[in-house]
Amino acid sequence: MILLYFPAIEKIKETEVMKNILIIEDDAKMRKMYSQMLASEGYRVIEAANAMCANEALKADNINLILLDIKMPEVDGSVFYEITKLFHRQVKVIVSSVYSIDEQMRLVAEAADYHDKSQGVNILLTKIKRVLKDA
Amino acid sequence: MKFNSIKFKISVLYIVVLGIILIVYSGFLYFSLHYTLYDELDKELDKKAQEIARAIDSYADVFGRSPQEFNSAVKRVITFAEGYPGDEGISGLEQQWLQKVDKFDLKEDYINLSDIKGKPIATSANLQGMLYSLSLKEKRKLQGGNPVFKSIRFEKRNLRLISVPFSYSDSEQYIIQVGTSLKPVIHLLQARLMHIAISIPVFLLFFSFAGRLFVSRILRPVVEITKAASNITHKDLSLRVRAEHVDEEMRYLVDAFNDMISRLEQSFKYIAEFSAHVAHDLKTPLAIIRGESDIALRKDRNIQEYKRVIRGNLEETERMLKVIEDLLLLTRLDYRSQVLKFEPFDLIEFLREICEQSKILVAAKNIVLNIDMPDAKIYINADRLHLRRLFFNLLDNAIKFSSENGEIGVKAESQGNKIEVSISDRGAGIRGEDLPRIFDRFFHKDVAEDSGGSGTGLGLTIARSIAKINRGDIRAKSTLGKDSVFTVILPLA
Repeated sequence: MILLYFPAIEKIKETEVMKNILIIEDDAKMRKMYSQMLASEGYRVIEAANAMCANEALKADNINLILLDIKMPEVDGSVFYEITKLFHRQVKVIVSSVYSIDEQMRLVAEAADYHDKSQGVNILLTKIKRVLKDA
Repeated sequence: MKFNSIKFKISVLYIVVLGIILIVYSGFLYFSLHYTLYDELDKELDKKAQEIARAIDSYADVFGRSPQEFNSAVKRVITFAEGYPGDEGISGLEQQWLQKVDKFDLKEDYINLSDIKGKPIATSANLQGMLYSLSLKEKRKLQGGNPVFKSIRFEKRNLRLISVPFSYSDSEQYIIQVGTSLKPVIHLLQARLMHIAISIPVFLLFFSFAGRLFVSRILRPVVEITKAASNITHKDLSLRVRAEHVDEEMRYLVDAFNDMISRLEQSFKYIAEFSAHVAHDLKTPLAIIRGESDIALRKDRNIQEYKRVIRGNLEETERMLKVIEDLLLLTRLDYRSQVLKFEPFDLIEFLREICEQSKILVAAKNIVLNIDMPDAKIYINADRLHLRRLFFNLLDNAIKFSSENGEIGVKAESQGNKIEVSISDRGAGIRGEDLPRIFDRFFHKDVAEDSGGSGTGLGLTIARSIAKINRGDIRAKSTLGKDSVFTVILPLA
């Protein structure tokens, strides 16, 4: 009987806390794709097309996870990452880019995880789930 | 030793020239020595002959003038006899003569007095018989009053002989002959010749080494360039050849070589960057295809959704194809210009056609197209097909970046021997710092969302290549937020 009890409590815990994910991506198609996918998985998604919007979003909301594109106009993703680390240290960052993972690690050090876009979304979802669980 | 040909050729040339110079000069010195020695000897002989003549004169004066007395006087002179038992006056003469004999070393010489026909009257003690009989020519010379010199071989000895005419009291004609040994002269000359024969090869050998060293020094930059060249690979283009301590002519070579490597390094860097850009730009559509496909397959969807995804993927594949085709075109334009077909045509008519064909796109955004072109025909010699692409490209850009109800201008104007076509729009403009880079490959401008992001990033690069390959150029001017003008310059036919 107790065994039946605990899983229920666990489930309630999960669904209570809805995670906020901020997608920072300059390619509109890509951004929409991620946004829709993550929304359908039950996450609350906030979109930003560049670093400026992303900054506003970070200030406005309590973000749990950032999906960060590196190559962006004006303010580069790696620069944005450094700023985020300073002011919003508790936010987890997954770097997502067409660059290879090695390249990404060179450009952005110590992110929570790295994702090569051409590897598909299933892997990304796994990574997101794992990073959010660790939080 | 790799430059055997140059080093070898220079060495050989050098030695041959030097050898010839040395031989000629030594020859000159040798022959001048030869001449001097013989000349000195001849002068010596002449003096001797004169002394003998004088002595004979003095003796004959004392002894008497009759032929017999003359003959004995001559004999006494030539045989260096002393102690005449008679007149005291003679011993004085004898003393004098004998002193002269010692002074001139006449005892070593062969002396002969003969009559005009050549019959010996008196000879020195070391002589038996004839010394040398003169030829007719020589006799004639003597009769002219000139001494005759000759080198003869007498009793296994080399002698230099002088024959002088002698007349005593203008009556009888006699010949005085004095022969002296040529041995010292010959030895001297032989020694000199041997010195020459030995020293010239030694000198040549020495100078050939010196010459080779010198050539090595000059050719050193060439060796270094070769070494550097063999060590340079596409992985390490940082090597350069040092240009200090290098002669001026070699400096040109070294500088040219270093410049070439720098240019190669630039090219390789460019290619590496380009490849990275290409990979990146092709990966993005792939990421989208994969992403959409992954998402679509996560659960069962309805047919419309599947169709949407498939359509989207098709678009992306087309995008990739376009990138690849544009790249190929760029490569062909930049490196294989035979693909173009040049023909003369009227640029004004051509531009009007293009404007006409763009009317639909222009109208869709309610844009006003201002055309400002001369009525006359202006002929250029260019590739129609590619120029078409160029102008459509620029016009499409202008339309794309103009807002609704905007204005686009197409103007053509001759400037000297060129024609300038300017396409202007009142669109978003380009940032000052971006302006110099817009023609670079894969420079994606900050593309607005509504334009769909369908550009390959190569449009303006291709535009510039087309302009250049038609012997023209393209320039851009822009004010951010206000307007942009793209000007294509082409040479007139």
